[in-house]
Amino acid sequence: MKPELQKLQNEIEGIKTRDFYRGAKPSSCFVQFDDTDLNEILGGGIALGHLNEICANSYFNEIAAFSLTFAMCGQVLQKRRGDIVIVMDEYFAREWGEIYSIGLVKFGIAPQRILLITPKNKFLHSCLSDTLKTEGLGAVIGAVSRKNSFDLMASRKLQLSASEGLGAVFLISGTPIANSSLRLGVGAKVGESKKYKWGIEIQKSRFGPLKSFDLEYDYENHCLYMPPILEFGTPFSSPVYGGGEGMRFVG
Amino acid sequence: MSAEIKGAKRITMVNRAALRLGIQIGHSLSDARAIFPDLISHDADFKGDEAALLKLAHWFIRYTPFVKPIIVGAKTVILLDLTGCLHLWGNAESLLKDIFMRLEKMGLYARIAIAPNIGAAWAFSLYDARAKDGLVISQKELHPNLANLKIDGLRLDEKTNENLKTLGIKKIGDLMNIPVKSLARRFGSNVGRALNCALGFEDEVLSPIKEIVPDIAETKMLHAVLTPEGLERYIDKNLEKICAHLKSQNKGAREILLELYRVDGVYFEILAKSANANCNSTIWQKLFAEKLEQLKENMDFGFGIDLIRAKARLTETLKPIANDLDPLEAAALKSAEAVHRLAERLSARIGAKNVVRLHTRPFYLPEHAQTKQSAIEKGAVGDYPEHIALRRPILLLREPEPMRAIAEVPDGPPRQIMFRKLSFKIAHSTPPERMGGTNMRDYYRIIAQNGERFFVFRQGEYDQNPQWFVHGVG
Repeated sequence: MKPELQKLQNEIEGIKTRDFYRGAKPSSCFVQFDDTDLNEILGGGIALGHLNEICANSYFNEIAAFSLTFAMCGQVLQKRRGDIVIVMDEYFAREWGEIYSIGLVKFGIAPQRILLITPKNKFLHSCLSDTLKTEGLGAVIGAVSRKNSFDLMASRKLQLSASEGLGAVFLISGTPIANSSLRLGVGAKVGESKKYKWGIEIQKSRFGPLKSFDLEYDYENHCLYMPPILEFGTPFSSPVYGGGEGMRFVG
Repeated sequence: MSAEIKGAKRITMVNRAALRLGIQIGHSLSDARAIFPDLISHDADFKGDEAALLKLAHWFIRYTPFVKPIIVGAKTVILLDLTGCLHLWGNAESLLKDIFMRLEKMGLYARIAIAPNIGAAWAFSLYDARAKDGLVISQKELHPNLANLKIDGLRLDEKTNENLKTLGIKKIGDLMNIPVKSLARRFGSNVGRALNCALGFEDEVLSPIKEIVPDIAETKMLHAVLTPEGLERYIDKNLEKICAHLKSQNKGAREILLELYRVDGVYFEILAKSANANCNSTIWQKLFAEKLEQLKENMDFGFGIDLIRAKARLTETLKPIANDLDPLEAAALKSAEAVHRLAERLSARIGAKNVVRLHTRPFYLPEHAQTKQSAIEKGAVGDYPEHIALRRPILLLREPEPMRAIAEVPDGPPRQIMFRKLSFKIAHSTPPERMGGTNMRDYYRIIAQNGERFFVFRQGEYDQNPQWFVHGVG
């Protein structure tokens, strides 16, 4: 399918679902970030009990998808008790190596809060489903490669499990799945003074608009925020996806 | 059975038919074939014999926890310490009857003797003809009966046996008549010791093949169970029993070992572990259901399982938890409990090594600074300096992957790299971080112009043809 057509289809899907869900869920069903603009753009924050998908837009951007997920997770863990459970399939471990807990400290994730599950492909769905059903977890990260992409029924089951556990769920997926409430397309960017920076495109959202924007992470203050964009752009913050709507002027 | 011994193929084991023909252990195979040309001989498998005996010894744990298998030449012996166990079977005769009945079902021939000590039991079982039908010797009958046995029954080495026989001491009784001091002087201390052991004057301790666990519950089935569904029901019952037993003592277990005894002597073990000590039968039932689900495809029920024994290991006294005083504390406890239960369940399903906690250690080399430990085992939480943690990647490759780099000489950071067939121009890099002893590495964190982040190192100095590797990403 052509990218323009796909984008239009996503927009239609977003419009169809947005109004139904908006306002229907109380605000306690979201984990909000410190950046109010980011909350607004995501339709309230990270919805609890929903599948929030993070898709890399190229092979090497899978690393960026991981770093964005951990950055968001770190923010969520500031507001929620409990451990972070990572269910990672064989592909990611083989391709990009093991989760390095020491490196996650910069996102505010303490190594002792991590529970890592690396099932064989045939157990991936059942392990992920069981984890999503578990109540009281800080956050759940599922890393599902293209090879293990879930069909409509499997992703529906995951969605039901997530709604049972009511946790903050992030899915790093190789192929988009049908039942996610939020899908972010991620690409890496070079941030100011070596900070983490991502170009993000909201491809699907049940609670907010479809937009493109940039996100930066300040690991000295453990803060995830949308970098200020000047009227005519600056050398360090030009949106890659051409989203003109997010232009703001900050003193 | 035959094996290559002293340059010739020799008989190591014979069946009753061969014995009747006069073929004996130690004969060369050609001599045996001269006696009976159609003799069928297989190569001896000593390791296989040992494994089979060990398996059978495990099966005998159903009678007593103190079991020890021994192989001496062609003789295979299993010693059982029945102290305190006989009353469970009524008396020694009923126990013998049960053992013979079960061994016969397995197609095994055995000589069994029950005696007041290990030395005497050994001598009677191997050198008393009555042992083939089962022999029980009481303390009173010990001395007169032992005196009639061959000297070989004393577990002495062959050379000593030969020396004693040359001197006309052919029976244990002959040795009993010689004063102890003369015995030690003439034959060494071993003979006197062996005699004392057989007569019960010296204590011998049997070291068990398996750990003795005091918290045990067992279920004997009237009819052997042949299906996983049927087995699950009995396992649940047995777990309820052991949990009730633990609860009565205010204890919880972190491991429960389930032993399943098949009627034909085969023995299985299923181990389930819990992240924290508990005596909740529902939790254990779920864990064993997961385990059984994994195992049932490969489990051979044979003629059925007739005994289940649950052993509670790593038991701890349960401490009371006041979780209703502080709601925040209660929520934290509930959350920790949920993670424990999840880790247990998934460990039972996919293996404990795949459900892990990541522990940090204060080591400089990145691959040594993190270890994995099963989530259901308690491990020490290490510390890692935060200023160094900021310089580490989020994903560490299993092995450093070689890359090509254009870098400033002699020891500058890379300006352009080629990794997995793609070229990246580098926009930012950190100053080098030197690590390692003999294989010194200079680590850099580099950011490509498109934002990709790599954790790379150079091994070797400029003048030593340095190699570049990617060790982590993100």
